Formats: sequence, structure tokens, C-alpha cells
Amino acid sequence: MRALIVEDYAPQRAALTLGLKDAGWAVDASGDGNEGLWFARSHPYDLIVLDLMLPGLDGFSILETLRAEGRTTPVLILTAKDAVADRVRGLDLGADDYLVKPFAFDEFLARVRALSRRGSQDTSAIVQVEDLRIDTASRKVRRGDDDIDLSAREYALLLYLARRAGQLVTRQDIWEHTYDFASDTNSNVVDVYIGYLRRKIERDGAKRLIHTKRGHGYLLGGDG
Amino acid sequence: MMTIRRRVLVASTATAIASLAIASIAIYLLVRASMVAEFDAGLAARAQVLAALVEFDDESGEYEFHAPDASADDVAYQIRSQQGRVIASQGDAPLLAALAVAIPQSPHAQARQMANGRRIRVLAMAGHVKLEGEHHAAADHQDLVVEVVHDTRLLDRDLWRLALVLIGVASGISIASGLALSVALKAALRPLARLATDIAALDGKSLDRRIDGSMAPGELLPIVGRLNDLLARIENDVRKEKSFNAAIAHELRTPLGGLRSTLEVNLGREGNAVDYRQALLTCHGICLDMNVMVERLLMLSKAEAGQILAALADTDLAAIARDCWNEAREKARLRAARIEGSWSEPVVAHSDPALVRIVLSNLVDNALSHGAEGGVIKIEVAARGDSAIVRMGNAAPGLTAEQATHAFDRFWRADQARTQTGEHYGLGMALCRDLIAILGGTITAGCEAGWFQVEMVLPRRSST
Repeated sequence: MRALIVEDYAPQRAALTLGLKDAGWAVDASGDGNEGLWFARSHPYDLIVLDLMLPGLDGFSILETLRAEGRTTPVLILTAKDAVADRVRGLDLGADDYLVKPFAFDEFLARVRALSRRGSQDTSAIVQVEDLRIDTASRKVRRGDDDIDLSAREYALLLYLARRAGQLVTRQDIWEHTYDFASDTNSNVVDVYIGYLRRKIERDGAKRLIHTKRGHGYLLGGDG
Repeated sequence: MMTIRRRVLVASTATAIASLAIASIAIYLLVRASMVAEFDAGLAARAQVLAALVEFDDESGEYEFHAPDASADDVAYQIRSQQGRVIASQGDAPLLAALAVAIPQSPHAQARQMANGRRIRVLAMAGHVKLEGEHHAAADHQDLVVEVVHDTRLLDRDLWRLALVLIGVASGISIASGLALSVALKAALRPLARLATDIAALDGKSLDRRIDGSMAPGELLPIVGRLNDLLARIENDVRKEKSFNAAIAHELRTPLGGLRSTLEVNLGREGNAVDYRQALLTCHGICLDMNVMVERLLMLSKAEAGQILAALADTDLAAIARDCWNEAREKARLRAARIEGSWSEPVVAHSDPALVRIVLSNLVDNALSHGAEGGVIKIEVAARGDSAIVRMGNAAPGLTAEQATHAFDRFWRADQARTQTGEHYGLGMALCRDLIAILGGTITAGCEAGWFQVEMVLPRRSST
């Protein structure tokens, strides 16, 4: 899952980036309104965290532009503006959620999880594919009775596949949704991480869960 | 507590009572004088009648007195010859005894009091008996002294009744006027009570209400007017304070949010010492920024409360301007800003060097922070007449003349979206304005064709 953070206050931007990356997100961040809009247009993000008071172009204008262009990426407004009028305006312009600073980071993550579930079949923080169980709240992964320890990137990749279980996911999709701009540009990196994942979730002769569709991509779950 | 109503009532009633008392006493004295005069006239008439009843027998050389038929027990008289021989006397013995004391002859009676407390009036007047006959000329006569004493019991009784009537009437009038005044005052002061009720109904949530003066008497209209003016000022001040408090809360939210997020994110992860040190440095930086904001707010608050006193002395504005620029060199380097300073000659103002340094430091920082990156900053320090002037200008692309008029508003930023969050709170220029006012100077800002300029004028000499 890949998020864009548009926040001009550097410490806040850094904390959000770090916290989201720890939660398994690929994160791009910008401190400028115009640059933030450029990011949002140039990539199919799974979530945009948007501040309202930004240099260059304010958050309302960015949101209005994105929605006018038909982009439906969930937007979480994160701002110091707490007036009802601002909340109403933000939500009416197409924001999916609104959080006023200062906020509890756990609440922020819960809202991010809730927004990321939209559009998928998930109704809770648990994503289950056969005997693979991913608790998105605690970021714990189990297969059967075994706990599986994953790195942040492995977790992000698995969650992305799990949310699309039974669907063919291309390498391009995976790249776009689990890697940020600052990531390693090695074209083989997706295959490498799929390999890491397999070694962890399909060990000891467990049933294969990640199926490779040569020339197309990957499929999680089913019989391949 | 003495109320206005009581004060007016007491004063008015006291005045009425005093006036009535004086009038009653005057009436009493006038009537008494009249009655006494009448009484005395009666005595004199009686004495004359008595004198007329005396005849002188020329042959025997004796006086003859034809006593009147009627006699009263409250009057006595005595007629004596010039030689002191009693010709006739009649009346109550104690009264006659009162005539034993010499009475000076006078047309006016004298008041006396007998040993038993009985009050009397005595009159002694000269009379004469005309001598008639062939041996006497027309003007011949014998002199007499007629002394009359009259008990004044009836007179005193009448006077006492008069006094009682006057006291009664005066008291009645006083009580009636007091009651009438009380009622009138109550009615007259009712608008005051209504005003008090209206004022009591006002609270912090109803400062937009105004006192209705349409029913108030003319005397209260100025008070109602001033009160409404005061309410308007209070409402304005409270609104400003609320707005200011909201702005402070708003401005604190961003750094506080950054602080909280940084702490919570790092508390929730297994990091290494380098990560934690970085987080601590971030938090420390946020705290320093917030500290600057709080310090500026405190200084603004002190300036507005008149708690900052200027220590006036000869102050070289050019030297301070150069110092401030030198202190900001690193920031200027980062912003690639160039300086064009006209400050080689000392320009001395009668001012406070410490406060001037704060102002110029803020202006330089403002120019560096909000001026165009890589732009030029012009600082000119000059003397003109009795004024020392500092002009500081920088390129400000996008800033309009209208926007520049808000430069001294607290928490105002040219870029309403937000510029350099957490570092600039829009307080520096407001602080400059207040400090320059304390120094007896003026500071103005304007923007023309993308060039933002601040001009600060300070007196060169002491105004005293």
C-alpha cells in the first residue's frame, strides 16, 4: 500500500512518514502544495494524507482538483483547522476523513486502516486468505498456528496481495502500490521480495499460497 | 448603605420640616405679638377707664372713685395719687400683691411671674383728674398713676393652643409631603431599577445586547449611552481576545501535533540510539520554536499592558542594523540573499538600544524569511530633521498592497495557505509595531510592484 503525505511542517511530515512506513506503507511525502498535487496526479496512491495550510497551493484546492479530475483515492485531511465550517468544506470537497492536530498516532493509523479497507471486501482489521491471517491493527501475520515475522516491505507486499486475493496482480501494480519514489529502482526487486515471502509463509512444506503467472504477475490464494 | 432615594427623602423631608418649623415659629411669634399687643391694649383701655372714674372733690380735697360694677377675678387694679396714696384698688389679693413692686410707667405692659408660678402682665400708666370749677383753669388737673395687673392664663392658653395647632399642621404637612415624596421618588427611580435589572441580565454570552434607553428618563440617557458604548468596547475586546486565544491555540496545534506524533511514533517502534537521538533533536527543535512563539506572545502582552519601559539613551541605529545583519549572515547564506546597506554613517536616535535591536532583528529575519530566495535586501539608515529613519525592503513576489496593510496583524501571514510552518507565527511584525510605539516612533509597511518595504521612524532628540 502506498500513501502520499502532503504536509509542510517538517517534523510532522517526518513522523507521519516514519509511522506509516513502520505500518507497512510505502510513503511519498511533500511539503509543498504544488508538488503534492504533482505527486498525487503522477501516481495511483492508496491514500493521501493532506494538510490544508500549505505553501504554494492549499489543501482544499488540491482536493478539489483531484476530485474534479475523477481521482477517487481516499483522502485523509490532517489539519490544525478545527472549525466546523472547515470540516464541512473538506468533507464536501470529497475528503474521506478529517483529523485535527494534535492527534493520537494510533487513532491516525486506525483511520488509515479503515480508509485502506474501502473498496476491498474487508470489514475488519483482520485479512484472512485460507489459513493465512493478517491482523492489520497489530501487524501480526500467522499461518495456521505459526507466527510469521515479516519486514515492513514484506508485510506491505503480502497485505497488498491479500487484499486482492484470487486476483492476478502485476509486478507493475505491486511496484506502484508498495514502493515509494525513493525505493530501489531495481526492476527485479518485486521478484526478490516475493521470494522472501514464499520462504516465510510457505515453509516446511506448507501449501503454496503465492502463485506465479509467468509474464503476468502473481496471485495469492486458490490453487493457482 | 444610604440609597439615593433615602438621601433625597431625608434631605427633602428635613428641608420641609425645617421650613415648616421656621414658618410655624414665625406665625406663632407674629400672632403672639399681636395677641399680646391686643391684650396690652385692653389693659391700657381698662387703665384709662379706671382713671376716668376718678374725680377730685375740690372742697374736701379728696379723690372720689366710682368703682365699676363688674369685676373679674383675673384682674386687679390700683389707682394711686401722684404722692403715692392709694385712691382705689380692687381685685384678687395675690394679684394686688403683685402691684406692691414698683412698676415703671409705660404704655406697654410687662410680663411677670408670681411666686406661685402664675403668669401675669402688669401695666402702669399715668392718668389725670381734670379739675373743674371756677377756680380752675381749663388745663388744671391732678396726676394719677393707674396700675393694672391681669392674669394671662387665658392668653397663655390661647397661645398654647395656637402652638399646638401650628405643630400639628406642620407635622401633618411634613409627614404628608414625606410620603408623597417617597412615592414620587419610587416612581422616578423605577427606570434606575429597570436599568440595574437589564445590566444584571448581561453576561459573557450576551455582550451583543444593548440597554434599551427608549423608556429611560432624559437624565439617564447619557448613562445608558455611555453604558452601551462601554458594552460595545467590551464586546470588541472580548471578541479580539477570543480570536487571539483561538489563534494561539491554532498556532500551537501544529507544533504540538508534530511533537506528539514524533514521540508516539518513536515510542511505538524498536529503534536504535541514532533514531531516538534524531527524534529527540526533532522534539527539541519544536520546543525551541514554541519557546520563541511563547516569548513573543509574552513580550506582546507586556508591551500592550505597558509593562515594557524604554531605557532611553543615544542609540546608533546604523550600528545596530549592521549587527543584526551580521547575526543573520548564516540564514542569509542559506537563502542566498544579498544585502545593500546604506549605513556607514552613525545615525543616533534617542531610543532604547535593546528594544531597537529586537525590532531590527525581527525585521531582518522577516525580510530573509519572506523575501524572494536569492533576492536582495536593502537597508537604509538615515537622519532627517528630528527623525532617525530605517528603511528595509525586499522583493516579495505575489504580495499585494492590500495584503501588506495586514503586515502588523498578529498571526497574519502573506501566504494564507502557510509559509514555513512552525518557524514563523506572524508575531514578529506585531511586536515591532508595539515596541516602536513604546519608543515614541512610528513604523509603516507597504508593497509596491512586488517590493515590500518597512519604514521605521524614531525621534533623534528627547521630547522633553
